[in-house]
Amino acid sequence: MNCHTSKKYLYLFREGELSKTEKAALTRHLKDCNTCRMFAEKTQGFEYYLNSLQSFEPQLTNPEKLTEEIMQNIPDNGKKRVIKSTRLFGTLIVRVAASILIIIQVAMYVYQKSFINHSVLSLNNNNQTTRSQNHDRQNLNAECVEQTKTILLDIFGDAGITLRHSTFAFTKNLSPGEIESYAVQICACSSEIEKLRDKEQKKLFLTNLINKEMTLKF
Amino acid sequence: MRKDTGKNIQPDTALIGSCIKKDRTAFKQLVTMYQQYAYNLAFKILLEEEDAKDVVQETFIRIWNHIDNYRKEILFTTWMYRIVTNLCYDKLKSFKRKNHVSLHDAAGQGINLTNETEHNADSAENHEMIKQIRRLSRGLTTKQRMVFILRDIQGHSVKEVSEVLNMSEGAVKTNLYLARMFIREEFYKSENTGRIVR
Repeated sequence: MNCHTSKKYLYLFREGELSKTEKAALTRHLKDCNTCRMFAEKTQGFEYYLNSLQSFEPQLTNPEKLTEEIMQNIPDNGKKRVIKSTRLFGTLIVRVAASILIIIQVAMYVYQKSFINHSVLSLNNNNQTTRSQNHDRQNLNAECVEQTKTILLDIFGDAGITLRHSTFAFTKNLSPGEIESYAVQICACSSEIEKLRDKEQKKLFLTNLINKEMTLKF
Repeated sequence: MRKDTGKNIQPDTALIGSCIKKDRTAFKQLVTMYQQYAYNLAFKILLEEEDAKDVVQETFIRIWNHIDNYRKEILFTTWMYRIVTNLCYDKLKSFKRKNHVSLHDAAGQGINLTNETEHNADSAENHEMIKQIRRLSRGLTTKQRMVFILRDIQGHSVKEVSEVLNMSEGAVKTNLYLARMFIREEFYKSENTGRIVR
């Protein structure tokens, strides 16, 4: 007998499934083989331990109560009933509470998301409006500058005053915004200028206006 | 050592007959006679008092609903244990699905037992036993654990285990062999670290 068979026989021995011949063979092998003998001794300790586990006898704390619960839960006329268990009830409460919490969370999330979207939208709209207004204003100012140039050219016959004005603006480091503000003021007076019949009167009016503005400004 | 697993106390034909006729008094008598046996096995498998009680309740409801399917060729206790083990098997599977940190696993990680379980473990010896079974069997597959508990802790014969679990005797022996191998290793490891108190 080899050691592998010996271990197998030891297992079968515990199960009471060894024949007399096999038992004798095992005994002979254990006498001769030190390793298997030590294994068998060790196994015996384990067998003893396994046997000791059989003394484990969990007892019902209140059998009458359990009997009553079972009798309450069995159906009357063969109809199946759901077990009434405190644990199941507890689970139900937890499930309901969890569902409510989830609904609240989802509602809050949706509300927050819509609020954020709304805010972002408003902000975008505001920005767009501001940008649009700025754009309009820039366009208007540019138009005013162009209109002023036309008025000046028309009245003075050349771009001299325009050039002077521009040179002056340039030398005085006038910003485009400041030039625009002059132009806007000239444009504002365009209807008054048009009313004047005489070109010389127009010249005088504009010269006064420009000088006055320049005096005020610088 | 072979312990009382209820197989020597079988209900007589008259009692079963009354239960088939849906006689509640007779059925109550049946429950009183066998609930402790059912609880004993359910607790050994699940190691949780409330879970074991739930299984016992469900077992007797099933018995009530299907007692007309009971065949006299097998012992009543074998039939009852089959229902108990099936329900326990389902419970263990559902624990795994829910990633339930059962005390089986917790015991191996040094987590203390709850008071709920302690009050059932009516003696310090039982308490210690529960801890040891948890520790030793936590690496077994569900089938191996069932076989190990029925054979080595509950004390059924291989034939009875095969009947209860509805598997061949060969399959029982194989599962038992693997379970014992694993538990023996765990036992020696624990013995070396002084965790097993014999």
